[in-house]
Amino acid sequence: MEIFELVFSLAQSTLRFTPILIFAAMAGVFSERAGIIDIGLEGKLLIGAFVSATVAHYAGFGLVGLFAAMAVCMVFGWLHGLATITFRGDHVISGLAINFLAVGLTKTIGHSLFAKGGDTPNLAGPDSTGWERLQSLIPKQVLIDAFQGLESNNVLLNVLSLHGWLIALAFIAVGLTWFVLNQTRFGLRLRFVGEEPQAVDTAGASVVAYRFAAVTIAGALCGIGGAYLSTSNIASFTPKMSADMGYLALAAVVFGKWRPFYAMLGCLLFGLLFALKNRLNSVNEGFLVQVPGQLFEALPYVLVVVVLAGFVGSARAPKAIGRPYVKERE
Amino acid sequence: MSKSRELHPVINFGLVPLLQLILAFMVVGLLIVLIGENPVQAVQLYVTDVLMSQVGIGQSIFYATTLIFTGMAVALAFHAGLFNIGGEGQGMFGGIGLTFVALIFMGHFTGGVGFDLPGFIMVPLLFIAAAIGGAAWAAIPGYLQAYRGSHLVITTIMFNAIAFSIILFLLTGWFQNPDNPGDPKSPLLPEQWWLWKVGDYYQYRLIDLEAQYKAFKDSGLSVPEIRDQNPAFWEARAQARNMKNSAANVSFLFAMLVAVGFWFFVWRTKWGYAIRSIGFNQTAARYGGVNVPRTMFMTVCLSGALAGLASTNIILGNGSDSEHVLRETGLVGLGFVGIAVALMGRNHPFGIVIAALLFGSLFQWGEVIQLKGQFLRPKLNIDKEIVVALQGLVVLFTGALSLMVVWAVRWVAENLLGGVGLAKEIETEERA
Repeated sequence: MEIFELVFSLAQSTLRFTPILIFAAMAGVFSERAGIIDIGLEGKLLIGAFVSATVAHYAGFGLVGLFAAMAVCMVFGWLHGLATITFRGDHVISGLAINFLAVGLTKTIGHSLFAKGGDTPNLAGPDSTGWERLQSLIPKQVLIDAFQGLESNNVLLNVLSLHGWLIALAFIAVGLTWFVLNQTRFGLRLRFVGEEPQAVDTAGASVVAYRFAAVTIAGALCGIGGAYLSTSNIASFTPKMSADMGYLALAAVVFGKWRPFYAMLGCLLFGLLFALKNRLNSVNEGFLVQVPGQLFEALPYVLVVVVLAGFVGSARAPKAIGRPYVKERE
Repeated sequence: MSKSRELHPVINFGLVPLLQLILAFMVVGLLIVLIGENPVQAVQLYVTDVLMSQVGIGQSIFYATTLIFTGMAVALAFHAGLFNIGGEGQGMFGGIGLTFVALIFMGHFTGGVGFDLPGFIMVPLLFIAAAIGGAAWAAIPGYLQAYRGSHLVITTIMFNAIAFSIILFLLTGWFQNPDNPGDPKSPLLPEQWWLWKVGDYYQYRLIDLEAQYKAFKDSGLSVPEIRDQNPAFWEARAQARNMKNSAANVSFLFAMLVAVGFWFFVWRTKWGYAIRSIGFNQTAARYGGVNVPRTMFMTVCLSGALAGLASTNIILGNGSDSEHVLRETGLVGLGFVGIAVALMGRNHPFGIVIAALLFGSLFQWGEVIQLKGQFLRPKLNIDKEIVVALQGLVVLFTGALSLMVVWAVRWVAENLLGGVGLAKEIETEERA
């Protein structure tokens, strides 16, 4: 029975952690398939987390925070687009700048707003009357109050106040990403922009517009990921809480060879390793003999390097990735 | 045909970086206004407590020393067309290499049986160990980039994270100070291996001054009396007490030497030529007889060695007597700031030294704001991480949005100034 409990708790903790990676990884898939390297996933996650927690605190609604985070992250996506698409800057440098900015801005503004060393105030809990957190779509208490006579284990009630609807959304986002990229004309062109931008240009579509669309979508997805991080997973923002998860998501994109489903599998694997590490840090399981937690922490990164080294299949990036598109004749 | 002419070098290397810097500062000023603080006060603090203060200058030089190394690490790779983001991890591994050798000689692994060698032997040895440590950590991403085509950016990011795990693992295990198991740091390095720092001079002077102070007291004078009767003595003592932890140390001079060596290596040797040639055009370089993968590999290793050297300043040259130890937070992000320094300094050692001094002083500015802002009237309540935002903006404007300023300046030169500021020769037209 113990082993079942262990597996269950590991699965639960994996599921709680993975959505952050999945949202960021899908953002990575969109922008990288369009030829934009996005190191700035990390920074946008952090910004999304900060904005959602702050706005949710002031507005009193988690959903408002979510949309605000999406909007602000889109703006930072456009900044990345402005630098890389319009001004043909280096993609990595631009992404790094966004990461620096994210760390600096969130801490500075958070410190001046709340004077708690950059933390935001705790948001109201999930099952009370609070709307501030995003854990359940509609707080249970609100439903019980609204529909007098509902029992607390009513199916409808449980569905509507479902915990972790954002977790479900993460997996839906994977399917949507696959659908958009592979089943629509928009996605076909987006992928071509990353492979052969000249072909898209010749076909009469604007490379610039498609690339901007990609960074916009990436920004929105990072915003959701950040909101999940600070308003659903836990109840406040703390400085540098993204803790390299954006980089890990990028690694998952490479790990998954720039395909949504494989990237999702990478995220799940990294999530599992993360859960295992946490488990090891809290209790020393008998059968997992004394493995240092740091070793588990490093494992996802080592795995990515091994994949990148080409020892496990070949990882081929989109052909035009990181290269500005300059029309032959202007 | 492209009609646009390049900017005059003076404009390109002087005015353009200046404008980019001004833009970054303006945005930060705006940010300070937006969070309801007074930017003038922040600038005042920068002038009085960083530029005009001996302690401030000393600390700025200390941070700048680290930044010269990490900046050159990034710049060397840039010359080969490579982007080494791994300065942070390579710097950590420089520290690990240095500490490993130091601990062997201290007898940490052999139960206290070590060799107590004097500084003039150990310090060069530790410098070499730091360089080798950094180079070793860069070697794997370098090999993967050169021979297996893995993207250096991604692998070095991963290696930063792995380095952080390894350093934590070592500091909670093999390298751990046995006297202090709660705190993840290595044992204190012996004093004869520390680098000479400015503070040492004042510590030495303070012995005399304190003896004199004691003599005054013994002769029955009260503290205000001592102060009023011997103003010169009083000031000298106050200055010495203030400066005794000043961290500016000889490795700054070493960094300058390395910067000169960097210039000579990149622009005056055949190896530097090979590095720059693969940065310009790999196909042409290969045609010219350059072994491209090997040059790439060596460049990344050298770049790692430079980043590794950054740890010597932090561990051997630290201002605080109890901090001559390896810590996982020792680099305080200066490995990443090296990227901003290299961009700002246009990958030239002269520019890098200037940019490093600027960023070093800004780093100190952040510390001062955090420490002193509370005691100002009116209060200046800004978090020190605003410096990180400023770094981000500098990286953005000098790196990613560089062309924005260049195009704007060129537009002004072409349309408003009638070609003033453009280079004399007309660029060769592009052929279709």
